[in-house]
Amino acid sequence: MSRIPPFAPRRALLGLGVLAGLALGAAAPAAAQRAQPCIGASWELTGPLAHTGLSIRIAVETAIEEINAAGGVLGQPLRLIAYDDQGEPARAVDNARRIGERDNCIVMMGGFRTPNAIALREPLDEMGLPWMGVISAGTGVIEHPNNANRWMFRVSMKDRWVAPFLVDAARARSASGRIALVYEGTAWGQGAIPDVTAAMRAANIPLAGQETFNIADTDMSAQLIRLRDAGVDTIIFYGVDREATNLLRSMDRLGYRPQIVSAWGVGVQFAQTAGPLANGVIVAGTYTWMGELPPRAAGVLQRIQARFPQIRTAADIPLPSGTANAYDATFIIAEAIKLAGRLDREAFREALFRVNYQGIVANYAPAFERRQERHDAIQASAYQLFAFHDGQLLPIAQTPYGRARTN
Amino acid sequence: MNAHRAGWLALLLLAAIIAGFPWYGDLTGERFPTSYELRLVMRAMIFAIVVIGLNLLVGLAGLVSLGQAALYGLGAHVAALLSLRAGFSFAESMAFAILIPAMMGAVLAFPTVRVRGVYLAVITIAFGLIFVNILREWVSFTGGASGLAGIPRPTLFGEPLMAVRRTNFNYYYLILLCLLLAVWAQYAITYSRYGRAMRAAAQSENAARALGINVVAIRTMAFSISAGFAGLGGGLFANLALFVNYETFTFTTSIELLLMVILGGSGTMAGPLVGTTVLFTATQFLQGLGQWQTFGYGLLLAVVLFAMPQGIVGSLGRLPAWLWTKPSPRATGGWPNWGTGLEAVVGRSDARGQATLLAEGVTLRFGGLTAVNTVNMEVRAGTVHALIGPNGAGKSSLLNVISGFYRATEGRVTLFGERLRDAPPYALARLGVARSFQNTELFSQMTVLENVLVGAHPHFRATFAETLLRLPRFHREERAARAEALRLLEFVGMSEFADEAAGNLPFGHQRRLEIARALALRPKLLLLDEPAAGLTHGEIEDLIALIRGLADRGMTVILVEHHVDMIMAVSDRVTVLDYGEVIADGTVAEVQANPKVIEAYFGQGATPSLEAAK
Amino acid sequence: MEAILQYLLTGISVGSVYAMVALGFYVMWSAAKAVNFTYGNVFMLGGVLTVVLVELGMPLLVAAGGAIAIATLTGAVIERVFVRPFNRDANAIGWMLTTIAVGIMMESFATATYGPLGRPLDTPFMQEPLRIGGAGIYAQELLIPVALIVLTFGLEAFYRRTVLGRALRAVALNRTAAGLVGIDADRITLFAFGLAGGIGALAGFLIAPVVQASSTMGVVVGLKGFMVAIIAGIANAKGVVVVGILYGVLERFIEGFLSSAARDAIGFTIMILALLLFPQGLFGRKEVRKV
Repeated sequence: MSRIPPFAPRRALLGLGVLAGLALGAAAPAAAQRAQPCIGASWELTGPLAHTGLSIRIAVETAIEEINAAGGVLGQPLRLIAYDDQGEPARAVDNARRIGERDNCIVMMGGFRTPNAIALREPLDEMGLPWMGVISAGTGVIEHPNNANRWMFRVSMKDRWVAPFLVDAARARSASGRIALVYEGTAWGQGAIPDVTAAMRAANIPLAGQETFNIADTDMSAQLIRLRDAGVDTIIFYGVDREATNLLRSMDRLGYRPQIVSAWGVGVQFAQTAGPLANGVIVAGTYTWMGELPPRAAGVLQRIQARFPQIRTAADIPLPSGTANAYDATFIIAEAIKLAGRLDREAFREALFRVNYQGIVANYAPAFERRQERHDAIQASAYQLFAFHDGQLLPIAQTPYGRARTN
Repeated sequence: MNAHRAGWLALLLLAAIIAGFPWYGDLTGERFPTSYELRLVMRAMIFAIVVIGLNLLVGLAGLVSLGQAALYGLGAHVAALLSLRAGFSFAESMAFAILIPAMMGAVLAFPTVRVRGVYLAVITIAFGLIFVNILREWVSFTGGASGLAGIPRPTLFGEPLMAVRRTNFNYYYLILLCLLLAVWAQYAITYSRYGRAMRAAAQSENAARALGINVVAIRTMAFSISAGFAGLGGGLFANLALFVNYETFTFTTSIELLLMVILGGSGTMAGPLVGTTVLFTATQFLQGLGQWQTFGYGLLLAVVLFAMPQGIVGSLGRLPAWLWTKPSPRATGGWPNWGTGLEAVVGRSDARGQATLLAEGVTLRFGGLTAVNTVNMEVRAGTVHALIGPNGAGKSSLLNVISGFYRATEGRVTLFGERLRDAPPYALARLGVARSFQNTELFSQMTVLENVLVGAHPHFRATFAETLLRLPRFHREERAARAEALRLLEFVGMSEFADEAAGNLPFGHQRRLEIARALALRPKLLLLDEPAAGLTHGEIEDLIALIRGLADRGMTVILVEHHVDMIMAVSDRVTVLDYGEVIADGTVAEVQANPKVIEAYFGQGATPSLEAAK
Repeated sequence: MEAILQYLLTGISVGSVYAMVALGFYVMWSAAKAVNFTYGNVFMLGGVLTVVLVELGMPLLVAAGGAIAIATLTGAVIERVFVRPFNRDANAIGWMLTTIAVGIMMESFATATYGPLGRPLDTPFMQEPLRIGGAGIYAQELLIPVALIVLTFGLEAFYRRTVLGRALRAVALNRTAAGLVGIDADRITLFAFGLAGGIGALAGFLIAPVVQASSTMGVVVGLKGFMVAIIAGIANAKGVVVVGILYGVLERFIEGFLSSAARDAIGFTIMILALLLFPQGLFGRKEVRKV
């Protein structure tokens, strides 16, 4: 390995030239002061989370198509500039800089992961670039320390509101009242601990157990044995498809079947991988594209299917709530641009507080308020419970699990 | 000298381009570069700093770390935590961001005492994974998976550090300054006794130890320095992003860092800069491939590794030599050449007649096998003492005990009048024990001159700081060592081969070089393990003259040899070993007449003439 | 008690996967003193290709056979193209980097074509878990240790009884000497990597029904398998198998009695300590350092 050519410095020339090449980089864009009518996005378009990027992209592209068909914004077509961050926070920041400075978009849209959003706080602030989250549900994405959030908005769930919602659902189904939290060892999972703990305290019941697992863990016997021994009969779950399936497998091995009430990380693929074990697993969310749809949503789904051949049925939309949120968020953005009347980020931000819009997830009236707590457009009243039944993710009322347990 | 200057000129040019980059838009009136491009260049520079550190470890010390990202992350988290939780200033937190990883690096070096190669690789992998696991799960301290957000904007002399026009891009220039310092440090370490010692330890651990290099210390140093660079990069990153979480510092990042080193050309000066730039730039451009970008990344790596197995700089660097340099015939000089200036080499000798070496009851066992059995032996200063015996008699084992490579199971060894208990080889070398090896152990990828310079390692007094800053004492000593090394090459008739890679030498020359290298230690006692093996008749004559000449000038020589003519010609005294025991000891004539010796060599009833053993 | 039994059962099952992967590393290492560093991706092929072939309409066993055959070929190709040219010097690490490159390509190719999400693989052994003294385990999971035992003894017999196996051992002991007695060491090495490819794919196929077949299923297993092989002393097949199973069990007990969050930190720390105490691995032979 060791090899120092006697005249190494000469070779410095080479390397340094290349680094210089990077510095000079690609051609520079034209100078621009006003923002562009574009939504810049940093999504997980490739890599192990590519399904989440897809879930968002299909909605945003479809919505933009509708918006432009109706005349666009301020007489110009609305554009989408989507970058890939592969789920890495550092890349998300790169993309934010690119969107805010190079592309000069009026707004940036976020993706799936909470840490990618948290990493953006400072750069967004520095650039004065509004950001719209559509999935990343971590409380800290929107609620910053010292109420410092100025630029980050979200059309999605918020864990601090999700937690009481899940706790209520869990209480209604727990016979023993012994409820536990099981969460993945990620920013999102760990971020849920304070929210769920607070919600349980508010409901005046002790948390009967708290367990975590790592991404890609295949066996959760140890966690489940502890919960079983603690008499837990209902589990509030923060995790995604693969680990949820492995959890159910472990439950099946132990012959221990607590009710799972899951946050919305569990998507439709879970129904495939867990098979019959998925039946009865309850998931909170904002939307499902399965079962009976209202006419407007049915139309959206049709247009998505027409535009994206890989979406054959609703079962091919991996994160149904994310897709619905992204659809509504795009319209909220368009409305705000129209209300602002000019392509100015500050004006756009102000306009967000005045948007009134009937979306497919909720009626946003208004979409946002000035308190940072209400930089979240979807309020807890719009949260819904879904359940897996025979390979479908359905509104809980359309399944046999609709009724809360009575004893 | 010219090439040297060209290298620095290129670096200067690069620095100027990077320095001018933020203002490019002022020239062209464009909105360029934006903070996006500036951030990319800053991240690339930070990577380059970390990669330079790793290059010292991999390229010089030959230790492959697959956990470097953890040290990078350690620096980032130290800086973040200290400024976030303890209110440390930027300068203070950066100092700790370098120091703590450097200390961690020293701890990580400890396993190298016992394991190398893939075993070490596994330990560094495990270290990296443990680090990430702790970051992720120690929520109360590291913020867990969410990481640490809201790190306060650093300030220096009251100025906020950030890469914006308002502050004249001060943070950008700070990173550039750190990068240039890192490049300088890499240069200063590589071309010094420290760099030579690291490479020596990597290429032949045994030879390095025999030349007075404390291999454990030099590896600890390599690990520490490399970790310090990683920590510096980490600290700069934390203060750039103002947000850190474990994901930036995973195994994948460690791999990426190693790839940058190898891709650029490990062990070369420009390699880290080239490797970082190419890989970092490629990552940006490959994004255009969409879902195939990672595939493209792998493909690119494979192609580069195929096309340029020595890395870009390593492989391209050979091109000019390959294209234009004709192998010129070089003359091997006669040897030994007793020129002037060689006095220093033999200047340390013991007073004549004194016992340089006294072995009493030395026994060495490997498990049940006794290699050396209660050997008593006295070697007087200024004599040539031959150690002979049939194969497997324990000669080399005894030599290894004397030079500290093996620890005697029983008995004691007194060297230069001092009783030495379990002194390691490098300590004995510093006291004046030099040796050659039965199968030559040269630093094959270093030049002939560098090989000899390694031998001078213990004579340097300039401290690490003096070396790094290139203070006068460093230059003085380096010049003196170089002059002495050239004299030694002249002595063995190899002046014209000074810049040749040692591995390319023919066998006889390797033997000569090994002796020159051993003499660079200025030994009092020279141990030669079968130095005549593989030499031509003429060369042996010269070797005899050399050994005799050294002894006449006061050096003590212990010679393990099979070559009887040579022993007869050169030895003052002979000790004969058989099955690990001394069966005879005396002058050549006495030993020749000893019936036990005859029996050992030829079996019972054989012709009583050692001559026939030829 | 029940819990301990459960940890033992799942531990042995998971550990058998580590052991099988480690065995593959052993086979490669003994022939070439180098390995496919991203062998986890060959393991992944076993699961993913089986699912793909089943979806194309093949019966399960045929699909598995096809997947294993392709993985065997892949293993051999990797040796020929990515390992051999980069393993010429004694201390070369070029092979490490080239196999990392090919691993990146394999994983991203799978992610791009197969998709990022896991898919189920139905086997008759996953319907109902077996109940053993209060603990439960799928029959599929018991197949793995069984396969491992068969494989270990089969390999042993192969190495001892067959000409090819003996040639492999000869190459492992001394490549140059093996060459001198007329063994084509390169060919043997190629074969060993193919064999390892097959072993990895078999493990991937056997575990896929339990953990879902996905493009990333091999990452962790590959890394842990490699570490297990090194800790065991990579030149000892039985040691590798024993340590693999033990590590799987150890992990379950760490999860059960210490911490499930810090399982890897604790497990890897134990690994490092083991290596420091036994620098040649737990079952490795101590090499006398020749000067």
